[in-house]
Amino acid sequence: MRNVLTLALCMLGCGLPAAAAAQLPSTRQLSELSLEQLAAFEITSVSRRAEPLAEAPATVFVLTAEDIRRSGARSLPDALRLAPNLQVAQTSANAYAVRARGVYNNSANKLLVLIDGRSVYTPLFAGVFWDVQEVMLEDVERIEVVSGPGGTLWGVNAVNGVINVITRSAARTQGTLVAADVGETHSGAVARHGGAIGGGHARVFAKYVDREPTRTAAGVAVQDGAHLSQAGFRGDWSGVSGELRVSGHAYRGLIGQPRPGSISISGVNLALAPIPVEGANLTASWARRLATGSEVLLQAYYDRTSRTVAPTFAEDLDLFDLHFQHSLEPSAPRSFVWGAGYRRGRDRIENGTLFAFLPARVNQSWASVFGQADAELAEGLRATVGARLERNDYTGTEFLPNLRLAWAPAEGSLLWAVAARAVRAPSRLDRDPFIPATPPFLLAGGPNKRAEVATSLELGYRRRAGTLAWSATVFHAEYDHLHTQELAPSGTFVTFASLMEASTTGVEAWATWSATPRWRLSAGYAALRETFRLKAGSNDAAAVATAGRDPAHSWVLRSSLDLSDSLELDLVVRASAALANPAVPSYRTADLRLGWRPLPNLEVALVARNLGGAHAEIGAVETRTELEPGLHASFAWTFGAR
Amino acid sequence: MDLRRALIAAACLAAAIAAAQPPRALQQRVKAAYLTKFPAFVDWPAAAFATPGSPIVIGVAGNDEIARELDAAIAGREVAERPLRVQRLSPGEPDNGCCHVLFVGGGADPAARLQLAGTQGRAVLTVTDTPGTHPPGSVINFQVVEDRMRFDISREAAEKNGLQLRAQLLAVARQVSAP
Repeated sequence: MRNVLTLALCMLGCGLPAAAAAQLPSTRQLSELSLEQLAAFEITSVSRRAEPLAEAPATVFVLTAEDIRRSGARSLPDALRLAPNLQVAQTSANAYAVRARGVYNNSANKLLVLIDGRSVYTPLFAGVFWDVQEVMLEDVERIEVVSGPGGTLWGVNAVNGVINVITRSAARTQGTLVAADVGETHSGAVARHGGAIGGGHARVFAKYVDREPTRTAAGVAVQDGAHLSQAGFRGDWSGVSGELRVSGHAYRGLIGQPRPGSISISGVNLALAPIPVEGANLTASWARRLATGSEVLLQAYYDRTSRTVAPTFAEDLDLFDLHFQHSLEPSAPRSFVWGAGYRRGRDRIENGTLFAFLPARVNQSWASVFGQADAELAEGLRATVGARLERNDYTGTEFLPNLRLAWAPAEGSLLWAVAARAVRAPSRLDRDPFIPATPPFLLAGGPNKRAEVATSLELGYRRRAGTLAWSATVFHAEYDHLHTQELAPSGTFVTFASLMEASTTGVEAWATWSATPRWRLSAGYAALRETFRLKAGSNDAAAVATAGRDPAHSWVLRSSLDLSDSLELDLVVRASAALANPAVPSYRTADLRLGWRPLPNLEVALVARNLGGAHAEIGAVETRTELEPGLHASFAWTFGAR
Repeated sequence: MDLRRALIAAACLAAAIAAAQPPRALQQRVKAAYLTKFPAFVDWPAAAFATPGSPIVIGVAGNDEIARELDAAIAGREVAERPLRVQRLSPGEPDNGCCHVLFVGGGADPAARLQLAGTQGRAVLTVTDTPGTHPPGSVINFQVVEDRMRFDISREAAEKNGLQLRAQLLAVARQVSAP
């Protein structure tokens, strides 16, 4: 396999004549953008860094700053509800299951989430603690949601998709912003100030969020009230030696722990305490364009998180991550990108008596190298081939290849096909959990738990013509080594294992139509069929009911209307099919926003949420939040230099 | 694929790579795209149009590249039920009331300054791309800031020419100078 791949790379690199110049967006395509999008459009590098995914042979939905503002979303998962290729389900005031393309078995653990290049995927349970990702949405430039395998470029864990949150350069957040919002479910305030410093620009910001406790459908209080304070900064400097970006955040908060608890143990009624959380991170990245036209990127970050989940566990986790990438001629008809990464984790857990991660203290490291080549084979036909090797402490070296073909039959349209292998490496929750904390155990870890492997095929087409843009993808994936819970032959304890397979088939499609310059309509739809099969040797008959955790289909409709120069009316209607395990009825709900700009620098908005009655999205009926209709008001005021 | 093989492959690719397309073409396209967008955010006095369906004429002086880009982009496009038209002018050529929007390239050249001065007091949305300073008589001046094509607005120039600029346009501008 290795020799075949190297041969393919050299054919692409040396065997083809220089072809046509790189594809730039046409003026007609550019004039379909809004004024704000034009002002945000990077003009010196349309390559990987600027519009990295617009021409990419992948299923990509891009949420712009305008989309987020006009949705009235106040948290990152709420904003992600706009992406038709994600299924976002809220369990309680602070907890969400965010997933793509199904296979939501023991947790939403197959999506990689990056905030300005920093992974917020925790090696504790291979998912995201959404309750501490309080991104300042006002400063987000765009969110790229890639559904489908992304292992080659993003590593193990990018199995079913990648969410890339990109904040604005500090040069674009000059002056002062003060914003606040108040509503029945949550209230908050943010302040940000940006200025010139040391030949570059920087901003500092602070954010406070308070979430009200919610209730179940039976009216029982869910213990999920929370508050979180955060402060951060970002600085950007650009000069002859390259572009330097430094950013950091620190947060502290207290988050309610609703039943059945962060770690639930059946048959045991735990006294659940609120969860104190705190964390800090610092990221530095340096990008430089070399005289030859190639580009190097070096990024390092340190991320510390602390979480005390009484009575089950308390964790202090330190992560250090280093990433290097070299792109050769990103905008030429051929390009090659290669890179290497190293990540080290220092995990310190204090266990309770009922539950334990064993060993309690672990140092782990991950190392990877990757290369990907892209070449034009014929007029309008491009091929991309690449692979990554990534090593982890649990399963050793994993191989993550992908092959992509893209054909542009005309300007503004692209047909693409993907074949890829992606892997999810085990997390501590897969290998190390024990119940109780000392023998004899009822749950004795997952010593035989393997890396989950997904082999995916995808075919997609997107087109932008006049005022209409649309995209459609069909995919099929085969999963192996999925999570099961096996009863030991003695019949006295269980272990976690990897004895299940799955097949998924689905579609993802969306369209946006600018009906008039003042009225934009969009629609998105996703459907999924999945089947799970136990492998020989498994006795976990209940595992195949995993299929009941993903909706068979979901859709979202949006209308953005400018009533006048200063009045905006936005409607989002979204729906999801029923879930079977645990049972959740299908729902259809809507959010309505009225935005008013009495002055160019002042925005006031009123948002009505969950119109059409209460609904629940995921979880057992006894514990899950019933999302009630509610009102939310906000203002945002900017002043000073722009 | 290991690191060494990746490097070999990288080296053989580097040898075969053609020169990158200069960013200039894209800059001109973004400016042209803006020129098609601006009319939706400007109110001209009623007298600026002969009839309710008269076209909005975008004049382009001293920049044939942008004129060509505009030709391709405006076909079939309407703003407030008015079609868009492109009119080419030579550098320094008097506009003779041809246009509702006038793009004047060429920075601070005497010809460009003359052309801008000639539009003063008439309902013309003047647009320039002079780096650094905002030329007198120009309502909108493009500036490249942090890899983006931004623009500054002179409300003084807009007022002198009797143009009403809408709030959404002012909100996207990098700087708005007081009247």
